[in-house]
Amino acid sequence: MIWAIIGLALGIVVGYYVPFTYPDNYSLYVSVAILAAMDSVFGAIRSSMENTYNNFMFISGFFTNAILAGFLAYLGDRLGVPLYYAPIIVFGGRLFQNFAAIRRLIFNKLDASKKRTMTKEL
Amino acid sequence: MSGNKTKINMLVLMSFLLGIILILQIKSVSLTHGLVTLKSIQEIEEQIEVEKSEMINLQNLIKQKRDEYKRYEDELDNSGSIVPVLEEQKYLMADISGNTNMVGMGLTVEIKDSEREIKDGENPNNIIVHDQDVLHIINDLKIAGAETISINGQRLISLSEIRCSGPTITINGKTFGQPFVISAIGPINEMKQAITAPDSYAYLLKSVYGIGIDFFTDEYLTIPKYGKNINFNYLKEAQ
Repeated sequence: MIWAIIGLALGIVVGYYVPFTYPDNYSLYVSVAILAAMDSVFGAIRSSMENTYNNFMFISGFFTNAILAGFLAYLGDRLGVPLYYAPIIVFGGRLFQNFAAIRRLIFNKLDASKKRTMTKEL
Repeated sequence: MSGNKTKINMLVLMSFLLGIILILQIKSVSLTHGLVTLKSIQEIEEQIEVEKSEMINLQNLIKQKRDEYKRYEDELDNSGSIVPVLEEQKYLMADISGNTNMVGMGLTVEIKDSEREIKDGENPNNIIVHDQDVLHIINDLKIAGAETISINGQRLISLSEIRCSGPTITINGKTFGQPFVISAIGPINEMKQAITAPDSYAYLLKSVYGIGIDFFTDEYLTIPKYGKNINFNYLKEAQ
């Protein structure tokens, strides 16, 4: 998780100095894609803590989810139906699930180490 | 171990990408260039013009103050005192505040009630001169560049009131019936135009309501000084 935060911070710093912006019309698509990407990163953190991490699943999920989410939002705009709700609900919900799992894993780890030190002291 | 390393690398890389997209999105959204109408562009341009002219005014003011300062210094060097300059200024102030009689070329406007018969059912207010009419005409004269104005011999200063009191008008606390004689020192031609132009207020009064408006020019028009004492009860000089 620390690595993810380091990467994020680096990305923010680099992105801040990249002299590039896109038209306002695309902001909805990109925001949905960002949500998908965030979900992928959280999922990767979770799976790495659960030792079920798969490199291919992570990278393919990161890109395809983001692209699909953005495309859905775009398609929804074309069709006049707010299809971007679908990625928002799915990825938003999964984001919280992943986060909850990460919290539980961290808590378990802390708990386990505490117990270990307690038994050592005893 | 190598699997763990690629895992960390990939995590960092993907988070890095996420960070870039995130900040780009934030930048793109916060840099929203809303629609700018032609009208608002024009308004902003006008504002810039106003600010520019204000700047020039302030620069002129600085220059003026510097000149003044230099004059004081020169006077101090030459005669050892600044009294002559101050006296000169005192006279100027007296002129500005209306404490001296003034003479100059100008225009006299006489406003009288209408002499026409009142029509059936017509409001008699239509054919008499009101304080509003006098105020309007005075403002027109000021716009035309009048430097000093008096009404029926009452010098108009910044404290002068023009009050309606029935069929009469009270100016500087003195009440006058019609005709009202407005004397104004200033550019004769411009002031003449201000009361004879087809869309001027005076023209309207004359042509629509039949109010009598006559004017004559004078090379040496005299305008008396303000007669009352001025006592400020509320004014204090700002520090």
